[in-house]
Amino acid sequence: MGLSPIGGWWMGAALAVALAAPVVAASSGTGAPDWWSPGEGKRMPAEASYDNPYGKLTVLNTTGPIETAGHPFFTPLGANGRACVTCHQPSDGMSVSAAHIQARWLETKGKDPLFAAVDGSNCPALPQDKRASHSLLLDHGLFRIFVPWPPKNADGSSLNPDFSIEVVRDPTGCNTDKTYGLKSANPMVSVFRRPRPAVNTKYLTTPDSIAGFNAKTGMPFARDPETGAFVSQELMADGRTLTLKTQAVDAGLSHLETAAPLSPAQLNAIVAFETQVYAAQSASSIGGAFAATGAPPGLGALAMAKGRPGILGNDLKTPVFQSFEVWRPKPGGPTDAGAAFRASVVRGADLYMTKTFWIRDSAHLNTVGLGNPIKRTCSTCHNAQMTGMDVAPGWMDIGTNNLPTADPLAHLPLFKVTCRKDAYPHPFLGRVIYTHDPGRALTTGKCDDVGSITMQQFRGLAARAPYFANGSAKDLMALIVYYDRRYEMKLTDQEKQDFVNFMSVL
Amino acid sequence: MRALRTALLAALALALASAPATAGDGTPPPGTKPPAGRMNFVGCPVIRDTAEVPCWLAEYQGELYYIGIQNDITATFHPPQLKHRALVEGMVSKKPRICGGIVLEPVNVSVIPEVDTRCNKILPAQGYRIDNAPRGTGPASRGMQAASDPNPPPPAPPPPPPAPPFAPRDVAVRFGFDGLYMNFHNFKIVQDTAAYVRASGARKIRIEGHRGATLLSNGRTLVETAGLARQRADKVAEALRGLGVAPASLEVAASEVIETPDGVADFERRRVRIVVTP
Ligand code: HEC
Ligand code: HEC
Repeated sequence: MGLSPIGGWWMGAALAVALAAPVVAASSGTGAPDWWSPGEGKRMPAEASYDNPYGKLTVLNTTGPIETAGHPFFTPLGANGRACVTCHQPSDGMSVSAAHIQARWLETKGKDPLFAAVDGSNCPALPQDKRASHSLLLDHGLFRIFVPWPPKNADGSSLNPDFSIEVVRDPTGCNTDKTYGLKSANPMVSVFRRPRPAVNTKYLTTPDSIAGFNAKTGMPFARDPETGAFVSQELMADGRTLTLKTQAVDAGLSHLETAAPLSPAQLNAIVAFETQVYAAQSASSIGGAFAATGAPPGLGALAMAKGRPGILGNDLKTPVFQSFEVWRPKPGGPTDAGAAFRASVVRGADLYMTKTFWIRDSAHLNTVGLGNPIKRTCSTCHNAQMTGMDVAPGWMDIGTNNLPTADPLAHLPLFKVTCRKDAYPHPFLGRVIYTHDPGRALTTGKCDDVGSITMQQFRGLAARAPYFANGSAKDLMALIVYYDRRYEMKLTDQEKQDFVNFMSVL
Repeated sequence: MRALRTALLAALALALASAPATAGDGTPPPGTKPPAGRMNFVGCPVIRDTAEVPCWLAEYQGELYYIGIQNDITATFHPPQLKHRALVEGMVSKKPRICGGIVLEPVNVSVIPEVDTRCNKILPAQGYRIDNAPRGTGPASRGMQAASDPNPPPPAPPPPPPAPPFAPRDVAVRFGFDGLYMNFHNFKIVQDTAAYVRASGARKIRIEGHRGATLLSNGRTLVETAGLARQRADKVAEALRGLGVAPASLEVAASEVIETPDGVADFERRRVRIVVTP
């Protein structure tokens, strides 16, 4: 556990991130000191803190220390030597940062099971000993997600997609490969995505309380195949799995290459672990430790453990990340660097809740009865208290994957989607769409879902650059710069930095 | 394509206008127009950047019509979308102009599904403002307990289930022109119906899909896409099943008969009728 003192060289690292904006945010300097390898058998403490470029992140096991020997989340269960923890690292907010991936490549000379051919390389067909064959993972933190095409309905029946899909550009070679490609014997689409944090899961799995109305579809919520209860539909970028259990089965078969689905006992142990572990940033290298008296009540892992899921935070009484008032500068108060940083966080929190801009041409936000455009704030979309997700199922197309709004992403595949004449088109792009990742549409086969991604939680952002499902924002500044361009927010440099500082403490 | 097809059908309707009207294909007798005071048109929506909230207008033949303001999903007015034309079906009100537009009230607005990038106008406030809006552009002021409250208030009790006597119930779920999306209020009708089915133990639920036609102020007729009646019925049936209604109790039908539009109540005919017989 890196329990280094606040400040010191850290401040330098944070400044470097803010100013130089390197390709990938600087990691904790040398390597990945807190890397958790599968099968280590260590005991995971009830509470541990880990260094990251912006300060520290705390991970809290509310049921006490976890004996990880033999625990299915921490044990290699399949052919490739990986465990869940390989890609869901405590030090990285239960995701994994590109910086730590690079460090592991250097430390293990590419032998870490992280780099397994199946999805830790650009394509399993490539020579695995070459760095270039793992460039998407190393340079952008992206794993290959391969889904059968066409998709099936949730009950396994066949589904007739609204569109056909062609490969326009294939830098990894995988979508045109004779074994793994779209025209292979087992046709599949390969897209490349960041791991989502497997933590704070009560917030991910609680369905919206507006009794069963899924505003994104105008239909009832989907149900848990096992219990019949409504589910949140907030898991995975494309919402393809409905519960933590079905997600774990999917993860086992794909990432871990298990020969058979995980056993009921293994699934229960995984879900039990995931539902008691909480994480959030707990200290800023400039602004100090949050646990100090009077810290904003919404910060820190304990706040995550104590908070209630399902609260709509798009209002000033229950703001999304609660109140930051205690950090608001007061006349005669301190004026040191820490106070200045905290003041910037407060401004960022204010901007997040109140800075209005035209939210436009975003499928599943502007199409759910709100109109296009709507003049609102970040918290209109990111409205769920504690996580900044959407209390409704959070898939929307904010343009991160589709042309012409996506950042230039020459390293990613590009698909051409052509919608059937008798289907509803994409609401803002029409019937021919160029996309790097069809997102939700890979699950539903619907044109109006092309490019839609279920938003991720905001906690532990500091520990897991890069951002967005496709890793297109190399750091928090790049994320804000994307929004500034996409929605013509006309932010000043100071406002951008305030946003970054605010996000860095979550 | 849908829009194109609609346009073609409209053209067809025009061509047929000289021929005697056949019942059931949505063609009114030649020369029929909506009654005075009705404004039914397809035009570009326009949004104006007014304080406290933006207001929505629609442009038709060089004139602006006021149709409503920005609000929340649970509001009854659902604004249209730039990059789409809108079908506006309204009554000209005697109220003074709002936001620079002739007030249409009541008004029904549909988003034409096909993209039309020509509709893309945001007007400056030009001195107009909207006062007393239920909600501004920023966060809502609605009160709630903080999540960190150790003693959260108990959740509001669910509404009591429907009570006997259980009479047959006949309700309509409406859709926007050429639309298949159920908004919050229409979903609520389906949800209430599901609750009624559960409480009454009804074993027979008839679902009847319809598509419609609209008589425009210029005398043309817009007819909804063929096949939509069936898709709507299937959608409502799927929603009822999703809400726990036994699939075996559902009788799903669709009517391809298009009632002759009158320019007044045309929006009511784009519907799914649900008849519950306890
Ligand atoms: C090779 C890396 C890798 C391994 C190993 C892995 N995951 Fe993941 N995990 C991912 C990626 C990538 C995603 C996001 C996928 C997507 O969005 O399509 C993800 C998503 C998740 C999510 C969804 C979180 C959210 O907010 O939607 C959970 C939960 C999760 N993983 C749990 C597990 C479990 C349990 C295991 C072990 C059985 C596991 N993962 C193994 C890479 C991995
Ligand atoms: C129209 C809805 C919408 C608006 C407005 C919006 N977001 Fe997002 N946000 C999303 C969606 C959808 C995603 C997931 C996109 C993806 O991964 O490609 C997302 C993702 C994010 C993430 C998570 C990144 C990660 O990888 O974990 C952050 C942080 C974020 N947004 C911050 C903001 C901020 C700050 C604002 C205001 C400047 C904002 N968002 C405005 C919809 C929105």
